[in-house]
Amino acid sequence: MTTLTESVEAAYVLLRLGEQRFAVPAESVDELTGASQLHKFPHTTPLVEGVIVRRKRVVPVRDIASLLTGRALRMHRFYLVVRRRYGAVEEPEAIPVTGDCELLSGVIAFPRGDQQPDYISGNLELAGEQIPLLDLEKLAAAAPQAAGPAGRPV
Amino acid sequence: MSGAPQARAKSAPAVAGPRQEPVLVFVVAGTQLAIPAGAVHEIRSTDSLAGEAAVLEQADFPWVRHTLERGGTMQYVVSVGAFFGLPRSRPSLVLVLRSVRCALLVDRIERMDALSTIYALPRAFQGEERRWYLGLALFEDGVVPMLNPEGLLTREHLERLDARHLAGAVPV
Repeated sequence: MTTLTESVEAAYVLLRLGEQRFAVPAESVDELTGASQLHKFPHTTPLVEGVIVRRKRVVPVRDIASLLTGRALRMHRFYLVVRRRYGAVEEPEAIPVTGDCELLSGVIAFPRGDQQPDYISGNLELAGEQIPLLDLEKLAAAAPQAAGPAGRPV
Repeated sequence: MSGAPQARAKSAPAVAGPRQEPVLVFVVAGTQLAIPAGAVHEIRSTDSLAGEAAVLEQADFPWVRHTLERGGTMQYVVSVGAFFGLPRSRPSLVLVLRSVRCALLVDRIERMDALSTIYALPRAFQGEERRWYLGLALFEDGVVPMLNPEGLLTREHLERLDARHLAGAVPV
């Protein structure tokens, strides 16, 4: 992984979901951790798979791959732990990723295209490849609406 | 990933730390759930309640099929498995709750823990589970959601169930 040496404002973490790569601002990333035991329980929040425990913290796991690539990751080796803001409070959240992540610095993000969804805040140009830069807050808001367990009126 | 970013946006306040509380852990269809120990008034076998329970014929709340009368108050027996859409199981116990008009139909008690560490439900969970759960109990072998005794049947649910009940309950 590249060491951060330049402007933090231009630092991004590159992540892989299946065959596709995306980027998030490095300042929103806490750590990359190996696959931990996923604890599942009944709930209705779309894309949230369950929780993992990291350093005695309970961290929710959000599968953004199904939203971004159209399919959930069948296998993943790591969780990228990012920080999400809820009003005045910040909480960690784990994103399953396919492989190792890369820290990029000194990269300029270009504005997003007209056809790109709101949760893409821009694009990074890397060796001829355009890599979407994710806005994690908007991405969470873009999840489909919650649905209750079958047969139960809300 | 090594080499965490050196500078960050101004940190938001930390989340409130965990609290400790005695809990009762039970199992429904292989799923572990917890409830504050103090919320449980009585644990009864389904057999022992055969003469006290009444069938409630209604279709709006398929997870409520029976009622219990305790001290002049009607309590609705919630099938926890049906409520959460879990696979069919063989419930053998009823947890009669204190101070709420709800009892829980469960498979078995897993354990009672004198002092469990309870974490707030992460804010990533945005659905009805915010009403269902008081938090998450952390054990060495896993994370178990802690039920809110008032969370499964809302006031509106109770009013509708009361209306159905007035239409006629059938003794078991």
